[in-house]
Amino acid sequence: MTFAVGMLWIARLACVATAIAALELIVGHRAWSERGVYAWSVLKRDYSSAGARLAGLVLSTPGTWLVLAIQLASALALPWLAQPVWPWLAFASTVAIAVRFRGTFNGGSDAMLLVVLLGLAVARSGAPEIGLGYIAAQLVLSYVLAGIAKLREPRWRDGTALAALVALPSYAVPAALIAWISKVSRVAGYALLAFECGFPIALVDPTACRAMLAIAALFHLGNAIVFGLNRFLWAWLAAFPALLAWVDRLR
Amino acid sequence: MKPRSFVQQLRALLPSWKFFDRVAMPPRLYVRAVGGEWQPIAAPPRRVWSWAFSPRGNLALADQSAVEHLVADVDELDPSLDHDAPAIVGLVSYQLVARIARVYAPAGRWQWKIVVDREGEISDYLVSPELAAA
Repeated sequence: MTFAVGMLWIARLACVATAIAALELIVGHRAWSERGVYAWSVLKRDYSSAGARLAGLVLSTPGTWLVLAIQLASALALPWLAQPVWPWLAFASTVAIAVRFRGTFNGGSDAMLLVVLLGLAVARSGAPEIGLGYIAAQLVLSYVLAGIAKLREPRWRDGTALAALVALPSYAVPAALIAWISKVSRVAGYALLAFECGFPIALVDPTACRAMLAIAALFHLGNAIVFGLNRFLWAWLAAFPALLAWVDRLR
Repeated sequence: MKPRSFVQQLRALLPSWKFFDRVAMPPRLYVRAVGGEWQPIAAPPRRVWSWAFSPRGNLALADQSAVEHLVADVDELDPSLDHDAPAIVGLVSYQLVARIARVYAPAGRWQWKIVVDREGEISDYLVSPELAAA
């Protein structure tokens, strides 16, 4: 995959990831309206009075509608319009939404989406090696650091972690899935540790890279189905072309 | 009230890449009609298309995250404070959780509470005063 093709695929997948993020908040707008849970009148107490007045221009209810409109429009422009302004706008609006929700709305998926949009913006601004290199490096780190962190947890090491995780009520995993996963949880848990810690194998050659990314795609699809983490699927898929392009370049 | 730090507001730009590393029961939010049984806030039902598009599911995850932030914020305060002390009730995270609970409030006077599991010991962490009908 060339850098040019990689940038096109990043733009297509980042379009989906960013548009979903915007549309989900538009559909759930009652939650961040003045009568909802995340009303600006509550959230603005995080700021000094001067800061609240300034932030309110962007993060109040009308401001959030404007930011979401910009986020959605710039997302839809990404695959069709090659100017750098679109990923920069998508990046800035996604940062604004994260700030509005006290740092992040959806944790790690917000972080990876921002990595992808920033990398694409830098790439389209005349530095494709740096932009795609940044995305690829963060992608590799996202797996390796997650694997190392799990190794420190005794329940991951003794193979009981996955069964415990799927049973947590906050993820509302359907009972049939819990029963099925519990049967294979020990093997699946060790396989996940091996995959995450061994992800740098993807850097060895293009075939290994494609194999690891295929496993990764299945892993994220599984997380989306089992845990309902749909945004992670799209944000991580959008990062894959950057690693493919760099590994092909180094061949 | 102490304004939230700039770094905290921009934490999405500083990823830690740690996912599911700690396996522990997260704090849970419960509501009840005064004198009735405590009921946990249930996650929304999964739809066929939730693997791709899940506004209610992600909002529920954000709500859970708000509950965890409140516990983290209260952990930093003096443990001898009453549950309705101004230092606790004045927290933005407290106000958010109170509003989340109100969405699920039963009819009549009601209450909410947060239950935590600390090394296998399950206990009430924070119990709201009795509240007027939502």
